[in-house]
Amino acid sequence: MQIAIPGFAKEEIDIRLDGNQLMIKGDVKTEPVDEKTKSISTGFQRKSFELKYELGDELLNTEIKAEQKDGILNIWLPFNENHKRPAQKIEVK
Amino acid sequence: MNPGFPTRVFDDLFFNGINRFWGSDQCDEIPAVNISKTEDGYTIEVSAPGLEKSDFAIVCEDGRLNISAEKSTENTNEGEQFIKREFNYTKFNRSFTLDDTLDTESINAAYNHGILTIKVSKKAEAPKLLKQIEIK
Repeated sequence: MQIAIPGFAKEEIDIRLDGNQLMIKGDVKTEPVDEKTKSISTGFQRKSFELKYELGDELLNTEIKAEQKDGILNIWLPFNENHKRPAQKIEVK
Repeated sequence: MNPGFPTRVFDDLFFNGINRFWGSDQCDEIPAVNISKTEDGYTIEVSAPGLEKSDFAIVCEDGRLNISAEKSTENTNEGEQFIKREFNYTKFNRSFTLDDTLDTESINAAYNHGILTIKVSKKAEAPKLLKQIEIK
């Protein structure tokens, strides 16, 4: 999973796994406004965000890794091999 | 160009629009930019995460500043499939017109946290000579 977060420093990102829920939060602290700088065109802004994902059972109890490089947050969610659902035959009634 | 309109220093070339219209397999994106005016000149911030310094080419020619990037390294892992793809910053090109008040010799660029920041300074002003005219 890759999240584009240009302009964010590692310290501004918080990733947590709470039960089945993966939460990724980016917290932007308000920067002092430079009065001598005037914005002409704003194409993007750094804003605080929060992303939540419900992880399926096959993603639980595994080591989730995260790395940030050049404005991209990479998150690795490996499958839990032991949690394969056994093949089931579903009867049609 | 209307000299009386001071904020219209930068123009975008429309060829980027044409490229998008015809479509492209490479999914060329036009990156978002922030332009701000400072005491010394202008600052352009280009949102381009996931690239490396060496992927960028910044060229200034005939009063036009051209910023392009192409990702040189392919990062796809075997067996990797995209389930959802919302961004693809692998290749882009954007141009800006610089007016005469800007010093094209001293443009400076830095790439940090996925943002390319380009600073263009104003030319140093020649000291204005004050001449007193005698009335005869």
